[in-house]
Amino acid sequence: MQIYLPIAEMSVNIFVILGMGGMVGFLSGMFGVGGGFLMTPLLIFYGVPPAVAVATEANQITAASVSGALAHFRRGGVDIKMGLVLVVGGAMGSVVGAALFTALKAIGQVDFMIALAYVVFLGTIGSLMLWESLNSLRRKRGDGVGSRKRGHQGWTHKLPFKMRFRRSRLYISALLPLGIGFVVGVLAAIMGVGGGFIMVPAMIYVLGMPTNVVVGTSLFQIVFVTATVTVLHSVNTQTVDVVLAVLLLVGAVVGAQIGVRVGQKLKGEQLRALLASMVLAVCVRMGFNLFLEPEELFSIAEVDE
Amino acid sequence: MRYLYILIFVLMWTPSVYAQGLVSDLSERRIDIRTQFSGADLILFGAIGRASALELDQDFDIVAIVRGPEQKLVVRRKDKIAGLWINKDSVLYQTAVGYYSLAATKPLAEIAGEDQLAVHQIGIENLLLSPTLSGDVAAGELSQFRAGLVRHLRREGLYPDEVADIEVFDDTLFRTRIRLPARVPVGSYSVDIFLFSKGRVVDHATQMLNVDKSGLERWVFSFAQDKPLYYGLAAVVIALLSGWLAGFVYRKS
Repeated sequence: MQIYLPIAEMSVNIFVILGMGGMVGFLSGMFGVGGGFLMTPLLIFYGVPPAVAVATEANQITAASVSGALAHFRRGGVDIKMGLVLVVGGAMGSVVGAALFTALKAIGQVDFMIALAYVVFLGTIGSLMLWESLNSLRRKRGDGVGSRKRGHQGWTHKLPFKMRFRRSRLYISALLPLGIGFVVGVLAAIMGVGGGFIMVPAMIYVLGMPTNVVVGTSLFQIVFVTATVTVLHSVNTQTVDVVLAVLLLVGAVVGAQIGVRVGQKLKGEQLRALLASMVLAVCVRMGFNLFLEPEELFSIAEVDE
Repeated sequence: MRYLYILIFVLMWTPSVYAQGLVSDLSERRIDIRTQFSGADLILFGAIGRASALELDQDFDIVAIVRGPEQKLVVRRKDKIAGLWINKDSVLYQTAVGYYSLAATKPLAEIAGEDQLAVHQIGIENLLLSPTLSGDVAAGELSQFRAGLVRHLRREGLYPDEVADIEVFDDTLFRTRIRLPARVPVGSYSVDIFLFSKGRVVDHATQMLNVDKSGLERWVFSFAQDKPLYYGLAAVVIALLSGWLAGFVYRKS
């Protein structure tokens, strides 16, 4: 059954879109990630204009994260104060990211930037994750000592604007969460991702937050930042396709439910190794477009004046 | 639908066949893009008066061009810069039509000479696209950009390669089918019908056609264009509500 997307201006097969939502939902339920980094490239490969894919995915992530954020909030798993500082940083980052996105769209470099951002970030994060999970798999077989130092390097203590975050039991400079929030905001605006894959490790290793508030606080920030990104892209480039976002969400909700169940049967290290390989696969696929001579050198775009 | 065309044909049979000149019409003048839009078929039909047909010794041909709305399109060419393939040079086409298709009673070469076809912009190679060069593009490279543009639009089905058949009945009536693909741009379309005889245009008629989003599609699109801030806020509210609802359903099950 075909359905016409009013903003993407294309006719798509509704079952393909639902299936894509379901598949990404399944993976995100299994791994506990937002899935934006999978969904946006999938949409682009399917033929959705990259700008529409990024903006629409931001909107879908808002929906996908809100119930998780609420659940963590009820359990007391959200450090509101930390979350708000992250949101402020995220809002500033998304304004910068969206402005960059608009400027690059005008000169025809937005597709390039999206691909480059994917290759750089997914490549880095994927390699780190794979390395870490392979190490811990090996360690498991050995003596079983998995010592992860919770804490922060010396230089972070010298930064000004110290703030107390009671729930995280931290007394650190507000510049750190502001900076992390900022980076995630930029990425959300240009890559159509929630940014959990970068924020969660940053919260643990850079800020030294206790793990019981990390996921909830990260989801809290993602809801607000992707909402900001949605509004910014709507205003700047009119590229948010609500119809597409809702279709993806429906598939994702069903898929996530199954994914969570499957995920519970797998071991943490196995899950992380699997997720890392998937991240790297997307990175390589995006990299093809950058490094190999494309079959079609010419591309067209509408100019509105 | 089919019966309607037959009826129209029968009606046309009676008085108009005796009239002079070229008469034509489209089965639809307005194409609505709705939720399930996957392209549209319409029929161009018409007649040349019997007197005219006799005057031309039955030696005539018909060519029809369907042209979409003019758009400003920029064609960019990727180049290898520091090992990466990046868009570099570009050409701006001021009057690139968003759709172009042809129908004719015979292969074009048998109807008229190159120059006559060019004058009336018959054939994709004769389309005037008004290019503006920018950067380092040499005038000699222009044909590559043009070919790139045409390739793209052809892949989307917007510049179909083959010339559709125009059938002629009873020496005076003609009919052809126009197929618009799912990706058609919205806007106003023109259908030009040329009556050729002995390699020259002897009569010409134009029909207009409108393609527009309709219903929910139109509403969503104009909302996004006219009130982008409210659209963005509404998108966020929809996302929050549906996300919350999904979570609620989750916990119940």
